[in-house]
Amino acid sequence: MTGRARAGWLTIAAGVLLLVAAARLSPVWHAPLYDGLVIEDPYRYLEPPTGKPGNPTSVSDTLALDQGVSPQLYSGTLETPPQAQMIADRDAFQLPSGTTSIKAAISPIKPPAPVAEGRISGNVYHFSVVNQAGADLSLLPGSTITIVVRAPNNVANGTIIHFNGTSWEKVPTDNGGLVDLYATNATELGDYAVLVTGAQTPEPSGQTPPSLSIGPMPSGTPGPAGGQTPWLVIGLVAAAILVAVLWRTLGDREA
Amino acid sequence: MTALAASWSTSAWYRAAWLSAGLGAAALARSVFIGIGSAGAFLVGTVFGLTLLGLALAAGWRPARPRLGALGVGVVGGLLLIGIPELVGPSSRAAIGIRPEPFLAWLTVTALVVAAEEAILRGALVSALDAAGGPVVAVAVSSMAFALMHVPVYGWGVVPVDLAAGVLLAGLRYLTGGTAAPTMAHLLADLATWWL
Repeated sequence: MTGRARAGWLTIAAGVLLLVAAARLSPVWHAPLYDGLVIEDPYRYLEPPTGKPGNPTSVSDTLALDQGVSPQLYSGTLETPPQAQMIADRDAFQLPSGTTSIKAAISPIKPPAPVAEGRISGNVYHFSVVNQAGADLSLLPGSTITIVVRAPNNVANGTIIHFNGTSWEKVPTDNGGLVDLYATNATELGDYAVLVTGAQTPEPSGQTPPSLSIGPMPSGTPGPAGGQTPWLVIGLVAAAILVAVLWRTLGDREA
Repeated sequence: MTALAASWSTSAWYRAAWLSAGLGAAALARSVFIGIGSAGAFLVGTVFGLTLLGLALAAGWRPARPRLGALGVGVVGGLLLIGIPELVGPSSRAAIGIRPEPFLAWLTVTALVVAAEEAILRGALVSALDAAGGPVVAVAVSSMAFALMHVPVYGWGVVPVDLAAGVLLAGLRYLTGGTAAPTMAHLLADLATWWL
């Protein structure tokens, strides 16, 4: 075996071990790679600031039981990516007797109380799971539900907060797969939002009553692309300069 | 001093530094366009891919005809990248908006970006770093660069996954001697996100 091949095998083995460790330590499932094209539509506000899109979507999914227990559940609002999601494993909920189906719902709501510090970034979302009779379901002991809340575009310093009935409290927050997507493994449903406490507080949260209907995806609203055009030009010019410099100084020698 | 400067400017370290700077600039420029919706995403992806490809070519990387065996190794690598998180990771999965329609356009631009990333990282950058500091430095730095270049878009939480994947892809590069195997593995892993 050549030295190069030996280095290859050793590196592959190290990579496999690192992949296993990364998968085991990740609080939520992750993609094989975080790479490629990312589509992220402009954030939709319950009460949009000037020039920002409104009409955030709500969602309500009714699911049959899975052999007498609550089914695996995924529910997400209709934006790309969803502005609020909840994910639960099979048999995660305590079911009152007589339960035949469950309904998972997510809707943007007016903040139930102000936060003590910082600012809520984006909308507050209410997460609920009820049975066909409308009785709230609670999680079984030891079970968690993954709550994913998206902040407005590129808000990268957020923490998920949960309203405990009287005040907001921070909950352990993980990256949800995009820079402005936040995830937590929660033990109760209710109201969740993203709190920002630093300087990055671009817009106020919604202030109007909740919309509980399931609506179609709102028609497209122009995004902030216009304001970003200078950055595109700067980036392209910088990249072109780098290519030219490298071509002149390095390319001929490496051919 | 002049001789030292001249030596530095022609060194593999110099080339690696320029490649890393270009890679970082391109990644930052791309991240600015998150939030403009699907219309611009394909254009931004195309420009990003062409920029990386230009950097790799400027640094001396040249495409070569792939060997069948290398492509087979790449398929195995891709299956490892896809299978490991499926087998040992938690089941709770969030949607992160990486399924842009139409499929054919997504496939084309994704393939361009994958080929370009492999050309610059496992092609040009690994070659430069290997010449400068040996394979350990080449694997470590190129894998870290691969992880960090995705932070502006995906956040710091992706570093462990992409760092590990970068190490595996670098291993494929050393095992086969070219970029065809890591490109194949990388492409399979990216394409799998359509269905996962």
